[in-house]
Amino acid sequence: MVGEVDGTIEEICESIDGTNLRGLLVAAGEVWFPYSIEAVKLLREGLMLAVRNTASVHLHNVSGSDEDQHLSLLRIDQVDTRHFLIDSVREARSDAPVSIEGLLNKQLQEWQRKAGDPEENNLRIIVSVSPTGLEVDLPMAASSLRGYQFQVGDQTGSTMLGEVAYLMKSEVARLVINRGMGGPKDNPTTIAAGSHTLYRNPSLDVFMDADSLFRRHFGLFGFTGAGKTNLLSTLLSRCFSAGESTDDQWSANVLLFDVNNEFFSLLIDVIVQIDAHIVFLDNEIGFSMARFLDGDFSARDAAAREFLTTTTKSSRIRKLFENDEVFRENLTLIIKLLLSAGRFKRYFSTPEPLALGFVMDEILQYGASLQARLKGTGQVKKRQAWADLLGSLSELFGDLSHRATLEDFAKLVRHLALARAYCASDTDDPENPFTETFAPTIPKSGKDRLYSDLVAVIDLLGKEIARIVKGLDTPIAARGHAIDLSGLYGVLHDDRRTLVVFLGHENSLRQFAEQLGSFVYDSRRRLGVIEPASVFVFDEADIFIPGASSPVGEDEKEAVKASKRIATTLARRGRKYGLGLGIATQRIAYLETSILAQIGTYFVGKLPRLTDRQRITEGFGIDHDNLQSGIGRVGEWVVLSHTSVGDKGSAIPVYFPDADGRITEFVRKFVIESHPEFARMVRTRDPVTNLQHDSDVLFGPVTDLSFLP
Amino acid sequence: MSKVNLGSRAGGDLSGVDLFEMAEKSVFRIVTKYGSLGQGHGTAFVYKQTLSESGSDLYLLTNLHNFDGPLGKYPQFVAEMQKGKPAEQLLSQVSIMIGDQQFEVDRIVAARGALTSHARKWIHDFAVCSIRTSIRDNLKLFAIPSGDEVRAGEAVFALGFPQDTDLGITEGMVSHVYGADDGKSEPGQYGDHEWQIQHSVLINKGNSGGPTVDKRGSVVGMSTWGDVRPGVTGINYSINVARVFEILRSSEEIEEVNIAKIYSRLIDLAAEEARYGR
Repeated sequence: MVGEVDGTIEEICESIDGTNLRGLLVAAGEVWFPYSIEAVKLLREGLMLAVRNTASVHLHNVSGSDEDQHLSLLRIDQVDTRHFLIDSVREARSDAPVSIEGLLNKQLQEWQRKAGDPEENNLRIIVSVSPTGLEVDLPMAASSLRGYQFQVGDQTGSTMLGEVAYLMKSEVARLVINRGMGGPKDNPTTIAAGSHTLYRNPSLDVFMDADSLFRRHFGLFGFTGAGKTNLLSTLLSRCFSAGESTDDQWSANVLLFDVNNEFFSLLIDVIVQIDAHIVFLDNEIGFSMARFLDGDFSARDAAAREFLTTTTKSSRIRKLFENDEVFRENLTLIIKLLLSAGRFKRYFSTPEPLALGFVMDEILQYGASLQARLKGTGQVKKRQAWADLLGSLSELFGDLSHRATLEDFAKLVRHLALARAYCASDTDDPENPFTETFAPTIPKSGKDRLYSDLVAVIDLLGKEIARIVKGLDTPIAARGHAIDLSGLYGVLHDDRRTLVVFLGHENSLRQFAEQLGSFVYDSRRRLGVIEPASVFVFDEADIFIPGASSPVGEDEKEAVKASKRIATTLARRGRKYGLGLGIATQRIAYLETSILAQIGTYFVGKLPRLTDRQRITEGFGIDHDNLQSGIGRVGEWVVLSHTSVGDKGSAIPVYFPDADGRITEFVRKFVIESHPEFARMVRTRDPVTNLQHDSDVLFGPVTDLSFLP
Repeated sequence: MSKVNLGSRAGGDLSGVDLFEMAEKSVFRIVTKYGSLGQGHGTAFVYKQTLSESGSDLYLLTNLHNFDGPLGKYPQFVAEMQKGKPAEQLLSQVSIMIGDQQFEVDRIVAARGALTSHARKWIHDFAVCSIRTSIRDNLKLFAIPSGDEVRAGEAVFALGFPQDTDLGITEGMVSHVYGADDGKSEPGQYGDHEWQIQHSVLINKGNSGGPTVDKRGSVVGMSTWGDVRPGVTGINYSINVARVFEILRSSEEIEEVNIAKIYSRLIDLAAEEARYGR
């Protein structure tokens, strides 16, 4: 990790009025700074100090100040101020109380000391620090050749007591916080997730690796009002834009189980811009929406209005919707277009779609429909022979419950080929089993016509089987207004980024999570698929994976078992197959603990209860509780990650921008022309819109009035 | 020779049996075939007959939604084509069935823009079509009322082919008559009510487009939709036929729709969409 600096160490450390802020390392974990109002405001928990270490001591001193400098980086854990004189007097108790109080009053103005004021001997800022294991390496001797580049790397010496401690600027902090990570311009999976809370001017982007965020599980934990939903929106939106400034496209999927139907309005921009599907799992669906999804395009506008009233909106978006005409009209328009583009769907379950029994049903049904083609001379006999043939097909397999394989089809095709061979030949072949089937119904002698009719029908059935075999290799494509497991599997395994938002009753969501999760997990495991990263996100996770002690209603038990089962599978074994788990909850105490320990990245918001924070520190494996430092404004979170940030294992305070602002801008400025792929889908997915384009040819004035009564 | 409205207004109330007998000659099944994907069913009724030397032209009224089913099947057309089904196996067709005889409909007259509207009002859910038949008999047709003769509390009958069974008749009562001012519906509400007749006559899928007649033999409405939400019973709607004919008389408000061409365009479009990959 290399940064550039204009001069020496002084250039990368903070200063007050042109003078570097300098402290003194007085003990392994303690640095003292001279007290000033400015210094108190600068020194904050989480910031980085640098202190020369023993690697800077050189055996051969070349030219004094030109030596390479190695400065250990120490993280500030705590900042206190101390008045030494008052402390000693108070602790000694050698004076009368009034004298101590008098002294306190007298010293009061010392707290007003500014950086440029005369030296103050009694006051110090006491900063507790902990090692980061890193150091800043300033190659001073070669500085003129290397353009004053400095590096951050592993610490190579130990800090020296009595050395000067410098407060590092964001240039250094950036290298520490984002170490080992290429920026979003260099790496298709890196995102600028948010900005470091402590570095505002200039701001410091905190990078995250979206791919490992998805694959190694993440959790959002915050009290009511902490903005979990908002943060999830911001995170997902950023993850879905990963790689935009690179040539590589990162492909990933998010499956969002949205109990409260509140993500639609917070992700509407993502839904428009990528391959997204809003899937209704049960009958918790409006009348007009149901009509539309059943194929009644004339219900589109009513369905859009209805959905707008039922989907949960954040208070800011709701206010805009009520008071801002442009916003309201555009939001309604976007929903109408999303409906037209086929983004809203109903889930329908089919029996194991490619189970042999299912496939055989299809083949036999088609076979039965072909019977009508056997007409004319000998109709009864031909139809009887055909029914016998279909009967023999249906008896070909014992167990129909297994997944249809190519071998099954080979058997089927061989069987059909025998039937065809018998029908096409002029003589009875005693070796051919169909001699037994057909000969009693239609004797060979002089009945060739009947057999040639059968050959034609056998060929048609053969074609149908060939078509099904072809479909075995390609996942069934998503259907316009309905989607099944195969369709979902298909959209998760194409080369597009996909977001699927599932809506429905809690139990439907729980049970479906297991159904889909197991289907995808089993398929991936069987086929050895690990791409693309796909994450199952459970908002209100305590509903899906409650701990043993949390109350579960009688009618929920089975569903809860199901969702817990799949969440546990994903948390423990999903990573191997590129399947991640994302959870958001405020009730950590109600969460299944074993899952917490599997989470790679924690986003911690306001959490007033110590027990909640302890669950997290235990799960993450750290022993100190600094999870709330740096959390003040809305949008401020602490990120802990072993996997997807540069500064692994540290609590990084991050500010995430408000999703409402992003959505507001997107909706207010929306014009469909800016989204050509979406516009194409609206035109081709919605035949009604398309027919409107050709109205001159298809519709005309009524010239013949003879229809009038 | 044109013949309209030969209902027996003057002759006092008709019984259900009388009405059923009239319907047997003038209420027909309408079938929408979605290529090889199956078919939908509805009802159409004759309101005008023009006799000629070779037979007669029949003019029928039905619901427009008996024609727009193929639009709703569009996603399936695309999916089927992706699976390799040839276009000719997916072409839709609407026919009027008189007994075993099938009369294909390729053009209709409908409310302007109604077929391709994303927000069609129920009152615009009508279509007129004509077929040329060899029928030489003078048919006894239900009368078309000239104004708002229908009243809440009147007994009415629905005739049609519920669930694609044979012609059936059901009886009920007009519960409410909505006029022009009842068109406003709040977003998400259960449909609009403009120009509709709410009644308690049992209707089902397949009744769509069938006549709702009073005891005088007048077609007061056309069976169109019902409130099928769980727990709701006996709230069904017919659109006001007198109003439908008012619209039909205004050339500004209607258009001719080349339904056969639309179906073939639909298949071309589905083929194009199927080629895009998904």
